[in-house]
Amino acid sequence: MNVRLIGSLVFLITLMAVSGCQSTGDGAALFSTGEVTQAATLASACSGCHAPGSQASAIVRLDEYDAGQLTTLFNRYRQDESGETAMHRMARGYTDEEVALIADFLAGER
Amino acid sequence: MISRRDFLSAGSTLALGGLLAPAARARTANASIVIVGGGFGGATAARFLKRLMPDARITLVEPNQQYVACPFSNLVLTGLRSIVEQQFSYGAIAGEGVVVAVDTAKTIDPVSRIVNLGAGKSIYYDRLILSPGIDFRWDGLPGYDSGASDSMPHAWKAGAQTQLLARQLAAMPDGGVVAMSVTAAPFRCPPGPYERASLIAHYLKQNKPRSKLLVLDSNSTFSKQSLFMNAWKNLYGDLIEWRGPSNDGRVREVDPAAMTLSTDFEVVSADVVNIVPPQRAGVIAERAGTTDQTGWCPINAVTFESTLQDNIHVIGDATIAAPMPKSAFSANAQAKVCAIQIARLLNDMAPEPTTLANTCYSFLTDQQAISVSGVYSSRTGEFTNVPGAGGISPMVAQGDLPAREAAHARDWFSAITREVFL
Repeated sequence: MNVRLIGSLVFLITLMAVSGCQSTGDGAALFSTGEVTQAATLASACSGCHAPGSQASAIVRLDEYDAGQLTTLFNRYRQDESGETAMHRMARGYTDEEVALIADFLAGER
Repeated sequence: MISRRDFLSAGSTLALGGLLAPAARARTANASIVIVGGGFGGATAARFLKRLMPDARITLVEPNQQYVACPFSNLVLTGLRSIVEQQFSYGAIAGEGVVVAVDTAKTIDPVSRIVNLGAGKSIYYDRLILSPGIDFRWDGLPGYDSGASDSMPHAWKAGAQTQLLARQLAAMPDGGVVAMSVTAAPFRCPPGPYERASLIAHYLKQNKPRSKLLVLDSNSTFSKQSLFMNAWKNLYGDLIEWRGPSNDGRVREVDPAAMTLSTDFEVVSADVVNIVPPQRAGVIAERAGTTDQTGWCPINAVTFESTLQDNIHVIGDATIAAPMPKSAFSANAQAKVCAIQIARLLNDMAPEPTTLANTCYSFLTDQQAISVSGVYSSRTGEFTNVPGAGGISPMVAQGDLPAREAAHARDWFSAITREVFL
């Protein structure tokens, strides 16, 4: 395991500690606000893996993060050149502007 | 049930231009949107359209009372998973206010915008979404018709066929031969045949080690090929023999009574035969006039509207969306984007191009998986790969990555089925 990966993991654990890593129960019903913006469209790609309220243990749960944390987390994946997971490979396809839109939208949905 | 509190409070703050204004929402109140097909694409579209437009009439037409998911069904084939874990009802979707019509769309009149269900029943639509999945070309492989699938299962639509192939594998004696025939692309789930080969080999190695798996392939290249080939050699040795078209791997004809497959130069006998048959868009797509000469549906990638019929959108396996693959992940992602674009269109807002993504996981054993990912832009009106993104798992994985990817795969199945059905 390289230094970057360890860094990501430490960061994740820190985020989890900050958030208390609590379940949000059922989670919000995604897209129930009727928002049909560019941000909503971009963010719709996330929930197939990161479904609100899911009991995921291997895939990162996004429920408790604010927009700043989500942006930082996304950028860790995007910028880790040796990252090997599917999320690393997908994150590289998004621009700074898109990441900001997605993070703001997901944080605002709760 | 969906609370409308958030929607109403959002509507009162019109500074956010992307929110549907009360006036625009009122206009959608009488809108009728019909979705044909309740798989990962159609069920997602129905659910999200109802959330986006609570007052519109959203009707999901699906002939089956319950859905049997294809992803993870290769684990059912080899006894690693129960078929029950693949089954989902439409109860939660109906509970959110979607009208679930357990019926078959027999014909579609794109001029009058009518879906005919037979027996005098029909539904008017302002916008129609077709998510019909695949149907088989029963004339595409000589000897292989729907009757032949009783003895040589395809198991390419999950359910009774999955259980039939599972029983055949379980009943086969040690030392038997399993033969798979893989049709030429495009077909549903590009890495699916090779995940299936991996898991059948895993089962044989553990339970019937003197047996052999012969993969007769009409494709010279395939999804995650280097990773599969490497894993087969390392995990299963000579238990799997793969033959591409340059090595007489193309099956020309089958004889279900004799349990034989004929290539150009050989007649192969096997104890268990699995056929991944030639495919096309689900038949209703052709009846709606949305298929081209390939049998699949050309679409505008921004809106998923058919390029052949106005007001009919097509999502999922039935579409021509390459480089997006025919996968549950893609169908789910496309459905959400399509729902948003339809909401925009019905509210006189211009559709907007976007970025979509896909990941397909494949199990190599019960504990190890690999993946392929892609990121796609719809900015040109067709899907294009976003440069620098996507790709497959590393050939030489660091640490326990294959085990972690298997865990990711299980979490993905749990999350997507929760989003769509639960």
